[in-house]
Amino acid sequence: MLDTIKKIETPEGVELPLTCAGFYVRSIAWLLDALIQGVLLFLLGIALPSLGDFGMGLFLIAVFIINWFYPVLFEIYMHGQTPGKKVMKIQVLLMDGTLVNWGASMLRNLLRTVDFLPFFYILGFISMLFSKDFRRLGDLAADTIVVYKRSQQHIARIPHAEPAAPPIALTAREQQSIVSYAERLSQFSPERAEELALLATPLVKDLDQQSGHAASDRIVSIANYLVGRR
Amino acid sequence: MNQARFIELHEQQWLLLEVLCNEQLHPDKIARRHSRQAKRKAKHYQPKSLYEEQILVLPPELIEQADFPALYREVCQHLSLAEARRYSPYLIERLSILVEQAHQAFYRPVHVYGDSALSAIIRFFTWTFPRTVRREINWLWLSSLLFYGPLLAMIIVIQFRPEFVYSVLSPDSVSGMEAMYDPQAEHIGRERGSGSDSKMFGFYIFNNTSIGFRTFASGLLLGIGSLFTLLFNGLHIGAVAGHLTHLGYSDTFWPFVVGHSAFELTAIALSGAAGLKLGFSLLMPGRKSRYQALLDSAKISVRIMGGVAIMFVMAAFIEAYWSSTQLIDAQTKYTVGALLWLLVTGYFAFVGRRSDESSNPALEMEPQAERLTDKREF
Amino acid sequence: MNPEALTLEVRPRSPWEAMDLSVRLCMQHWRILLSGWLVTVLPIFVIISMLLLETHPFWAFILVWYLKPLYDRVPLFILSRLIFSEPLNWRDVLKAVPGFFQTGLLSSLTLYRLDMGRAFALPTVQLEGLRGKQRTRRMSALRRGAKNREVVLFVLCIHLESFLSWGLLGMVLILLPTDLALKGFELVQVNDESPLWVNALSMMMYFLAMMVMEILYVAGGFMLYLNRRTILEGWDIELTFRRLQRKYQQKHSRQKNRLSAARAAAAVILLCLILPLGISEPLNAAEVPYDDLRYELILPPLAEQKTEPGKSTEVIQAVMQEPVFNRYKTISQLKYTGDTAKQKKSDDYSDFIRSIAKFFEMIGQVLARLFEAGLWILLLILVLLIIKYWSRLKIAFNGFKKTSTADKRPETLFGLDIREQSLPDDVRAEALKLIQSRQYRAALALLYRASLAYLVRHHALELQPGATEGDCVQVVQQHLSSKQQISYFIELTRAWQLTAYAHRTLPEAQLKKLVTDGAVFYEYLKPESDNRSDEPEGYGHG
Repeated sequence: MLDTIKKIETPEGVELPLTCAGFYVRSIAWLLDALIQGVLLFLLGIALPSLGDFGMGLFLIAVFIINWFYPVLFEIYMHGQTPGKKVMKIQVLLMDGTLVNWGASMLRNLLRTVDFLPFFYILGFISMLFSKDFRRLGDLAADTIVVYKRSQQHIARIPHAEPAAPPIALTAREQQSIVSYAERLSQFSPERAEELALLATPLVKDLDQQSGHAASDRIVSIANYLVGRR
Repeated sequence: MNQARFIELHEQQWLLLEVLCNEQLHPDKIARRHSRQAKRKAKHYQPKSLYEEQILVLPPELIEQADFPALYREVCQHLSLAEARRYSPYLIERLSILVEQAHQAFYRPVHVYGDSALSAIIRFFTWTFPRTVRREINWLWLSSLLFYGPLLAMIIVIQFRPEFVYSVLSPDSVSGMEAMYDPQAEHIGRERGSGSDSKMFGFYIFNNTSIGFRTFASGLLLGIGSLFTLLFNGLHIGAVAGHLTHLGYSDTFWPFVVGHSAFELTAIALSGAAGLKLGFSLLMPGRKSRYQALLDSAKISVRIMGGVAIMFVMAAFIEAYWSSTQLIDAQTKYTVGALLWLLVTGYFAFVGRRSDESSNPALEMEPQAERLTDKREF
Repeated sequence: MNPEALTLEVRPRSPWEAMDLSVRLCMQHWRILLSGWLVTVLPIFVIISMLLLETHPFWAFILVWYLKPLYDRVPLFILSRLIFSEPLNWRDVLKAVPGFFQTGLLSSLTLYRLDMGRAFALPTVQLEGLRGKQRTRRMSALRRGAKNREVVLFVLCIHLESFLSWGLLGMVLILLPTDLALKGFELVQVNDESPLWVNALSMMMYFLAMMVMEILYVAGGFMLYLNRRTILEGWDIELTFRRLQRKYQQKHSRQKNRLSAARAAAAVILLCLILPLGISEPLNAAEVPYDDLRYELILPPLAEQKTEPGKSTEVIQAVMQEPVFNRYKTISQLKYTGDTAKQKKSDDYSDFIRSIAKFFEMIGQVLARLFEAGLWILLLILVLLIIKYWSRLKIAFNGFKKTSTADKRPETLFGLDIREQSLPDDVRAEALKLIQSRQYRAALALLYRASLAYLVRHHALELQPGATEGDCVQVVQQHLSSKQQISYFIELTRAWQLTAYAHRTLPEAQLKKLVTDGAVFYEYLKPESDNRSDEPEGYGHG
């Protein structure tokens, strides 16, 4: 099955799914960062030269630091997220799923120069196309990966209903589907919801087909049973 | 056990772990929690977010006494159980996210040698950096050959065939250089009218360090980039030096450059060495796969680059504030220059030679868990 | 065709993830995508170039660009087959070409040519065959709540395409001889005056870049479309339910006409794709109140902490009335009042500005001095610190002379206590005694500890506290000169490892031999003091 998820195993023996972030979302994040850097430099460029030569010197140092260390510092101190990445909810991690360290962050950002070649990240783009987890050359050398940061979602509500035991034994996958049907019920149109529910013949075969949403109700009841409201 | 009961039983542990993770990764949150708990005691305090509600639900002493590693392992187990028992996907997702956060908090990079950043820096410069350079000394020799070779050759050639300078430099830049080091010039070593010491300090940091970084990075292109940059810079510097010497500007040129040359030239050679190592790991991976060879060499080269960055800053400092002064006579400058060369050589030759080279390589960062490993039991 | 053959993991994703997945899909099937593109689109490029490039290069590029919706049909056709892992080659693509002209091409090229969500809308036209009002209704249903990600995709792809074509062009020009390349750079703006070769080169690069990016763009749009429908219609759920149904049918009805439930199911899946299903008004999930939403499942109710919803306004107002907040302050600020005032004052004003600038510059100069002084002081402090802590840092400079490592000697290695105090006076006798009482493990542990203690004490071997058995062997090999001693130590280590970790019992003879061979090691070992523990703290009895 084709998917963008990379599973890593922690030393505790738990598998964590990391969703690799591709170049679309990363280029937006990059753009945001570039904007922030630009605005910073612009402001400094207005403010500092009024201090004369000394200001110019400071400005040049600022240019240097913002150019090379803006991503590094943010990745270290904001746990793998530059402001742009934070907005796009993506994060840099080491390949074992831990936070980046100084070495890796320095490496991937120094090697940005190479990714930029020959023109506007063409090499990085090609590298991201061909590597499995959308890693540019800097990521490959530093052994890092950019992933979507998961955050606790609002948990969709399973509508309350009289719990009903499923008439047949269900596999795990089927159970999960039934629960997620109930959880996503509000997103479906009523007709579609009923149509979907009717597909699960063995669960709804004894129902009176005339009433509008009997099948859907039945599935929700089973879901209620499955999540333990019994 | 059904899901509802499972949640009921472990809910508090999960909340606790979430709070602990947050406080491990963001130490400032501890103080905020304290203030919130204090506020909570005062009446009428409304929690602003769900996270706050969670914190306030937990008894403070539970947070203070919690054993993070044990709790983490326990929640890992909960996740495995939830997966095995096929609980609701949302519950599994929630636990999985929690475990991911805790995984990151638990294995986050921690300075092993003392906890402060300062001790890590001291450790780096008295141990890791010089030792790494010594271990990779062959790459340094190679890059020095590629850098100093053309440099010296150019100086010598120009003494006999002065017109050679134009093969590297454009006539404009040659005349610019001449103006900069003209003994009658107001500011030696600088373009006429360009700013003060501090401006040049900024400029040197910005310009030279960037060049160094690029020398390193372009090494990833099978070493060609570093090779080219080293040769080019060698020829360029050699041409300038040769030309000015030939013109008879030795008295202004050499005292100016001798001070910072130790740091700057060595830093360039080191950048080249790191880049070459990177590129050649792809060309000649040895017994490893090419990718593995790249990973290994990249880890080492970036350490060198960390030191190189500081060397460039020092070179910039010397160049801006020492080399440019005209109050100090040439003799002193030569002496100081020689001393600095000695210092740099001595630093790389001797610092960090505590024990035999074969002992464990000094790792800068190690996962926190290393410290937590138990004594081996039979 | 079989729904199990679906090569994608179907689940609701975020739009970004859907786009990423499309890239993976393209990379997995790049051969067929490229070959399909080449057999169909390349001829169009060649024909247009031959006809127009020499005479009207500008129009040639415009035309090539304009026909993009036509090319889009090719990758979408291939992809819609591929996701069901239907075998496909370039001949099938060629055969399908006539069909493309009946997929609303005219409206795509006219009415919707500048539609930024082209690739997102294409499946409704090409696969579902919707036209006119139907199409509009469908698209608005699909787009509702989709945050226009298809437009973002379009913008990104258009940029990537131009970067890619410029990058490729730049690369080629760099590889050309310098004078040609310089000319090329000057002429690269396509206009009627540029020589044919430059235009042809540009066209080629444009073709390559477009090939890559159009395929990615169409795939991205397609994935966004599939993802929307997965969310709105619950495809993933449908898939499992259908499998459930099939399982049930196979079990119970066992009819001969197993027209293969699989095939039937697959047909319906394809129907899903081809026929519009009623997506009407998806309810907005956000309407459910927040408090109930989250942790409804998980959190015990926190009701006792909440104020009633209506009262909060009163509470806030009451708080705001308190003296801490109820405070007013007059703040005056300058406001632009028009040109006349400014003109009058302009002279004063510029003077003022100038003096301010001068002032700042002076501050700058002062700061520069301070900065420089600061740097020098920093250097001084650094030097002083180095001098002050020289004795501590000296460890780092120890290349010249080896200081005594006595204070650094490890006391335990891999859990074994190797302090001499912990050893018995006569190691060999003690070991033999243990062997006779069949405590082989304890005997070996004793021997091994004793030899380590000897090595650390008499040869000043630098064993780090974290060293492993292997590390010890390595260090011994490097530092001991006597071959006999080295080989003895290796043998002992191996015996120890076998006993301690592999839990093997070694023959008694071998152990006794180890005791006798190790004379050198143990005889030198005389305890320094008397206050030693008699028994090695319980190790070796495991």
